[in-house]
Amino acid sequence: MQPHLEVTDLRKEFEGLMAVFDVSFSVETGEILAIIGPNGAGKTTIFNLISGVLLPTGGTMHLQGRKLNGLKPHAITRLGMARTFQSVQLFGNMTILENVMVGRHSKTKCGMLSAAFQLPHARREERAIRDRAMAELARVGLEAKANDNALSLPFGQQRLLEIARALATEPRLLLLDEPGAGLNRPEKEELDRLIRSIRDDGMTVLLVEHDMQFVMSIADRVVVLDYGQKIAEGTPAEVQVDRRVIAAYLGEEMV
Amino acid sequence: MTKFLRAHTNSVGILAFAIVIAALGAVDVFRPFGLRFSDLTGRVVTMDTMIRIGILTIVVVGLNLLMGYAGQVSLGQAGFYALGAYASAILSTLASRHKLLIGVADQWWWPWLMIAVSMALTGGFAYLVGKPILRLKGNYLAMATLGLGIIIYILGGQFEEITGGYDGLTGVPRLQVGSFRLWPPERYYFLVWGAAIAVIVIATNIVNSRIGRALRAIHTGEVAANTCGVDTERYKVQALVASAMCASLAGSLYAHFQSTVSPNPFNFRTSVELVVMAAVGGLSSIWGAPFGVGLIFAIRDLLRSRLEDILHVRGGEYELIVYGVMLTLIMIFMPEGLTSGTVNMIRKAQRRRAVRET
Repeated sequence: MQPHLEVTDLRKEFEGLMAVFDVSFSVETGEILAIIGPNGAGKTTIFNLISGVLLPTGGTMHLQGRKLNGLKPHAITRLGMARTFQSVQLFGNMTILENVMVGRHSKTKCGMLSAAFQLPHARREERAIRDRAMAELARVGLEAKANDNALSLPFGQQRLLEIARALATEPRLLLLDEPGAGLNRPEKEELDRLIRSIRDDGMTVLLVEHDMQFVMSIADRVVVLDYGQKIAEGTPAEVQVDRRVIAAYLGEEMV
Repeated sequence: MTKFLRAHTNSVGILAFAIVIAALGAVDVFRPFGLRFSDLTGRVVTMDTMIRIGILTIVVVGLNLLMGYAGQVSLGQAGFYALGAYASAILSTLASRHKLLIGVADQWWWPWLMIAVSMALTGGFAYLVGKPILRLKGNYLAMATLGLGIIIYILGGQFEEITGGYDGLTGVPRLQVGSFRLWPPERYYFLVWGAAIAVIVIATNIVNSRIGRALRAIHTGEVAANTCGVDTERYKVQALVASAMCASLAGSLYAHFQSTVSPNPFNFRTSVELVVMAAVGGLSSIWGAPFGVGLIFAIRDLLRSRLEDILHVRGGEYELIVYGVMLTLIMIFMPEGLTSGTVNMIRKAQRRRAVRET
């Protein structure tokens, strides 16, 4: 079967620095794949490349057989991929509900003119946007605060809101950039449940994570990066005992 | 009742505003007790001033969309304003001057059609320059738009056969509907404010829609907006085109109001004034526009008449200093503008009182 996302020899060079060096991996439909690695290993860069925020220097990326190279982020979103950010990127000038409503953008089409004159189909669409956004908020348990400002939420819930916004784009592949960073234990357990329920709904999940314990419990497979290169790939149990992985995480002298 | 008011704040606000504007205009039409509008204000504010406020309100609403919502700076808005004025002035006089299109160009609806054509031309121009210019961010975008405005201003003084050079074009016809002339000013007032209110309503609808959310999203986080599926480039250009078309409409109304067009009113200082008006009214508050424009008019008139007495200098250039100080103070103390700022302050005070009472 064709992999959901296939990354081949992906490369990104920043003025002589190889941030990502010929990395290949694929994500199968319906799995939870985690990319791990020490700081500066190139995890977030890979996310930025896949989601079109950065352009690769080399290599190819395919989403369900469609080439992603050179596509703008919004075009990639339309193909069924959504992402969150390591440093939460909410729209601070909007309410919680409005943040999620922005996520409906690619699934709706009312233009400047029909908006300007409030044509019936524009009103109907606006209601549909609101209903769907409320449903996504309910999924992450934030519906009670829908009309508060997005930044009034505690940090943990801001992460959940960002996930709700991504879900509103109806992705088939969801990219989560360190979703557990800055969360406490109960919040992480909640996040764990949410990610599993997202997968159970038929979505594929690719996540970057620092917290090994969290990754080991949730991921089906793990790709390990170090200095921009893939050093290991396998089930959590396999990579945990890999010598190169241990070396990368603990330093050479420990081995 | 309060529930109804809360649900329809916008519509009620628009209606109230329209009634006040119509009532003010009606004074000059009916002249109760022989009074004119300017008598109500001790002859400080005249019908003429009210028309100018209405015209610039239209420009500022467009600037609100662009700067306040989409977050893209324009220091060249006077350029689009000039394009509208010149396009209208040239197109409505050119054919009859050269005895072309007889039987068409001398019809009453010809100037109206040319206002629409001017808007389309200005919008098209904004679209073409917008694509490359809106790739720039922050200060660079400000510089580029500043340059654009200055170029248009200078071009207004060239090509004398068409633009009339620095002396300008004269003989721009008054507007009429059938045989009903929208002149003298007390009639034109209704056209200008009708257009201004229509533009305010349309802009309010846009900002409360999917498009408005996309623009606000671009303002706070372009990358995040982009990954949410918003085609950021496209919407930035659309915001610029919409703001340019507003400015063009205002320019056309200005040309038919003055009946002459020369480059001078469209210089760099006007662009700065427009930004200050938008900021005073509140950059992301469409409703603030008429109040921002009105306040700056009041201050400018006051400065022109009083600055000489205070500083013992001949005025003019000193206005810019006052604008600079105002802009700085507003950005520090009331970044949401005077209208929203005041509303927020009242709400906060009410809340504080409510807390104290419980």
